[in-house]
This record gives sequence, structure tokens and C-alpha cells, in this order.
Amino acid sequence: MMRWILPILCVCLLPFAADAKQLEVFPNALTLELKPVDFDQVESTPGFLQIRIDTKLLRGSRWRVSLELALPLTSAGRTFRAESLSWTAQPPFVSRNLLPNQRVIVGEGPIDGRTVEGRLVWRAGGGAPSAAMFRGRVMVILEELP
Amino acid sequence: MGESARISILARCRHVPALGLLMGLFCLPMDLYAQGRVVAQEPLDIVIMAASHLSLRIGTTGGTIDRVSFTVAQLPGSGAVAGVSSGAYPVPVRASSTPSGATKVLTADSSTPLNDGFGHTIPFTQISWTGAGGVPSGTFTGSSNQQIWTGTASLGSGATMSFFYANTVYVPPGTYSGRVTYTLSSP
Amino acid sequence: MRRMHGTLVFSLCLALLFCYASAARAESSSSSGTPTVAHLDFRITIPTILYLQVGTSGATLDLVTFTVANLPGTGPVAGTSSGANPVPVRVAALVGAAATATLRADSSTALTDGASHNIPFNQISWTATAPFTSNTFSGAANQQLDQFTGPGDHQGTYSFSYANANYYPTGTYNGAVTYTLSSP
Repeated sequence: MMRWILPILCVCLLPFAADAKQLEVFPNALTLELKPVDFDQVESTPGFLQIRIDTKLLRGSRWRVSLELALPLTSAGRTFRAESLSWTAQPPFVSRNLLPNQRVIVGEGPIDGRTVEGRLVWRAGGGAPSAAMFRGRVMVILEELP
Repeated sequence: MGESARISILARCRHVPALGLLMGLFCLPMDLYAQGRVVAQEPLDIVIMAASHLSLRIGTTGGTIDRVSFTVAQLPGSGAVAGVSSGAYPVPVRASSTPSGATKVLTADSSTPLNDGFGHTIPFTQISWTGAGGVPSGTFTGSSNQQIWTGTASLGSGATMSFFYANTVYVPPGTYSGRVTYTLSSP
Repeated sequence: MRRMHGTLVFSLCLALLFCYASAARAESSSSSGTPTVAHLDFRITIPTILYLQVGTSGATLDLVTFTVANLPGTGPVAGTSSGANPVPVRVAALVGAAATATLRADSSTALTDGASHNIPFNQISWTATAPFTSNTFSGAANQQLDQFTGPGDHQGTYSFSYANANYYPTGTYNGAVTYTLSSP
């Protein structure tokens, strides 16, 4: 009987890898589709990002999660403004918009042994984009504070 | 982080969008100004897709079609008559596309003459306009696809048309009505 | 010769409310990927206008003068206008397609020398260019000269002549003709 349970357990735990991670992010890619809203304005479908922090694996007094644009959103020389990307979130995470050249703090809290989970609902907006598709990369950064 | 982090965080307070909550959290002095140690990083790839799209507006915002009217008071041949509109005048023209730089072509179909309901007609070749804000001036040709404007930029505020009736034809008195259909396309 | 600048402007706009029964009401539209359409309506209101001009345009009346130098019976005498020669005539009408515009003359008051000697207007005739008709004044108050049907602009000239067929006392005889353009 144990033989059957073990593989099932392993499969269930796979999304959060067998060796527990301090920071988990799911999914690791978001696609936002822009739709027209009013004349000359666009708004996208939402993208859902789960963040999980296991504070048991952290040292120090507080944890902090930030986002930083690592690869700007570009398409053949055209750029999509980072500020037009934003997300909404619940405490301990905050609703913000992305910035092109700065790390943006997304959430922080005490290192108290608990596992923290949150969801960022991403949206893109602004004026009519200059290309049909933009690709970029954001790094989700977890810090320990003393 | 330290000092530079504090300045950048204060600057960011002003960037928090209307959607943002808990702005105050980062505008208060807290331990977070202390230096942190990065312990983990995860990449997040982002793709933004924009389906091709065209937007066109002729006249005022809203659901009704604007009407440009000419009231003739003198014999044909006495000069052109300036129009007035039921909406904003000069008539605003707005055209945009996604992607924003796509080539756009605006055409007009003026092939159905104005008529008084009793079989008397006035051809649209009697009506011309002065364009502004990127819209060229012209006269209706009566064709079904007369090019009015083309460009890769958009027609924004300031793009307008002011219309004139030539009044060079003798027709029975009455009220003559007609409609022009404008089409925006991206070849 | 009296030139009547008979411009009768009826600002009666035959208010025909022409309602378009159209499915597409939106003046602004947007669509994805396909050509995008918007409409603009136009309306022209044409009033009824009657316009008559005999002689030079303006407020001054033209005077057609016949200077008789020979005995009656030796042939007609051509007239010379103080205005343009030959005398311009213009009838312009914005009227219904089947409506008539009628040009009439009132030559019922004879030319007089002021000392109770008269020359009736039937001594004066004219040659007209198309579409106007050549004729002689009848002395009637409402002699129909020409009739036009439908909207149009008609221009031509009159060249007047005095018959000089009868003996009248020497003198200067003056008179005036009133032209009228009307549409029922």
C-alpha cells in the first residue's frame, strides 16, 4: 500500500519542489492580451501570479519581496512602457505598478516560521501599443532583513 | 540598498497607481530601509499581445450620427454656403490603430446623391471640405471609395473637417438629405 | 423704360422631414482587424427664389431712348439704353420641377409728352435672344411675355425699336414699363 502512496505524494508535491524552496513563483510566465477600451486606450486580460514564501527557511527578522524589470518589454526596437504594467494584491502584498529602472517592493512581513502566500493580479494598459507583441522578463527577488 | 533605497522608495510613493492600496505602508519609516540580503530570485517572463485593431470616429462621441446642414438663401452661383453641424463643428475626425504605427487609409463613399424624397437629387460633388490637423481638404467625387487620408500616425484632437455646399445647381426647392460612409482600413 | 429688379425671395422652406430608416446609427465605431466604418449625414435646404432683372443690375432704372430723325413711315428707329446695350434680361427661378415662372409686362400707361399728347406702347417692339421671345408691347396691364417651367437660370437680351409709323406732335415722350415675374 505504501508503494502506491509514495508516488502520489511525490506527484502532489512536485509544483513546490521536493527540496523546499524559500521563494516559489507560479506560473513563471504570464501572457496579457490587450483589448481596446474607449478610443485610443487599451486594457488587458488579467494575469494571475502566485507567490509563496516559506519563512521557516529564512533567517533574520523580516522578509521582503521585490520585482525588478530584468529584460525590458520590447519588440523589434519598440518598447512597452513598464509603468503601464500593474498588479493588485492583498496584504501583506501591495498593489503597485512596475518601473523601468528601479526595484519595486511588492510585500514584506515578519520571519515567524509561517508560510506566506499571495496572489498578484497583473494587468497592462495605456495607449495603443506600437507593436503586436512584446516580450520581457521580471525577476521576483526575496530578501532577508536583519 | 540603505540610503539609496529610502530615496527610491519615497519617489515610488508618487508612482503608486490609483489601483494601488496600502500606499502608506511604504511612506512610513520602517525597518525596510535596512539593508537586505537577497536569498532567492525567480524569473517571470511576460508576454503582452495586442491584436490588430482599428478605431474610427467621425463627429461627436455618442451613438447618434452627426448631421451637417446647409441653408441656401441665394441663387445658385452666388457663392458657396458654409455648413453647420448638429454636433461639434468643425467635424472632429479620430482614427487610430493597434499597433499604433500601422498604415491606415480613410476612404469615403459618397456615391448615393442627396435626395429630397421626390426623386430630385443633388450630387455629393457639390460638397467640399477644408481639413485641419492632418486631414487634407477635398471635394466629394461621388465614388464609393474616395481616399480622404492615409498615414501611419493617428488622427487625434485637432483633426477636423469644415464643409461647404457649392450651390451651383438649379434644383427644385426642398430639403435634400444624404449620408456619407467613411471607412478606416489597414491594408 | 423701367427696369424692375424683381427679386422675390420666398424663405419658405418646404419642410420635408426626410427620415432615414437605417440600421447603422453609430457615428463612431471600432472593430478588430476588419475595416471600421462611421457615417456623417448631410442636409441641404433649398428655398423658393424668383429673380428678375431687366437692364443693368443695381438700383438705377435704365432709360431706352429713340431719337426720331425721319418722317413716320420711313422705318423703325432703334433704341439705345442708358445702361448696357442690348438690354440684359435674366429670369432665375428655384421653383418646383413642374412649377411655372411667368414673365409679364404692364405697358398700359402710354408714353406722354406732359402736354396730354400720348404715344401708345404698341409702337414699341423688341427682338429678343433665346430663350426670350421677340414681341411688341400690347398696352395691356399683364401681357405675358414668356413662361418657364422648373428650376433654371435664363439669360438673354432685348433690342428695342420704335415703329415710327404715325404722326405725333413734336416733343419728348416718356413712359415706363413694369415687368413682373411670378410663380403661382
